[in-house]
Amino acid sequence: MIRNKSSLLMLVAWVLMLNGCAAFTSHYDATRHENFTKLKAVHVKLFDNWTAGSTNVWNEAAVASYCDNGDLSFREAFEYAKSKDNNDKTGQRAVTILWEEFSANCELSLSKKKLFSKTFKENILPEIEENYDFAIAGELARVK
Amino acid sequence: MSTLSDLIDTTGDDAKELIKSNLLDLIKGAKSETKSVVKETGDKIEKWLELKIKGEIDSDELEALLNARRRTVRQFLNSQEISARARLEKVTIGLIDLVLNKALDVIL
Repeated sequence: MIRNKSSLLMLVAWVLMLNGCAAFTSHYDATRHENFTKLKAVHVKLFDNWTAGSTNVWNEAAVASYCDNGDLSFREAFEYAKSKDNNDKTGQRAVTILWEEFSANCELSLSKKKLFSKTFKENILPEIEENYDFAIAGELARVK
Repeated sequence: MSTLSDLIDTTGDDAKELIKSNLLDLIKGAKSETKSVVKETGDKIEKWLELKIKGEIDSDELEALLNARRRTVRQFLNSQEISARARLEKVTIGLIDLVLNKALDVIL
C-alpha cells in the first residue's frame, strides 16, 4: 500500500513538474481561431485586388493603405495571442509567421510597383492558404 | 527531374555544374521522402525553379515563393509542437483523472 501511495505521489509530482516547465500549451481559444480565418481573408484579398487580369489598376496609395490596415489587423491578433499564450509562445508564433508573410507580400508589391503576375499568384496563394490551414489545425489540436 | 536538369543545362554555364548536382540531389532526396511536407517542398521547389528558368517568374518572385515555403514549414512545425504538447496534457490529465475517479479506491 505504501508503494502504491508513493507511486500516486510520484505521478502527481510528475504532472506538476510538466506544468512547471511549460510542457503543456494554452488551451483552444475561439477568438484566436476566428482571428486566423479573418487574417486569411485579408491576406487572400491582397492578391485578388492586385493581380494582373483583375479589374483593379495598381495604385501605390491604395496598396499602401490596404497593407497598413492589414498590418493593424495582424498586430491586434498578435497582441491577443500573446495575452493568451503559455511560456511556449506557440500562439503568438503562429500569428508572427503569417504576419511576416503578409508584410513580405506587401513589400514585394510596393517595391515592384505593379500588379502581381497571374503565374506568381497561382503559385504563392496555395502556399499562403496552406500556411493558414496549418495555423488553424494547430489551434484545433489544442485541448478544448 | 530530368526536365529541370535539361533546363539548367541549357544555361550553358560550366561553373553551375557543382550547384546543379547538389541541388538535384537535394530535390531528389526531398521528393523521395514519405513525409508529405518534405516531399511537397521538393516538388514545389523543382516546379518554381523550372518557372524561373523558363522566364515565367522573375528572381524576386522565386525568392518570395521560397521564403513563403520556409514560413509554411515553420507553421507546420509550430502546429506539430502544439499537437505534441496538447497530447501530453490529455494523456497526463486523463491518467490523473482515471486514478482519482476510478482507481483510487482499488489502489488504496
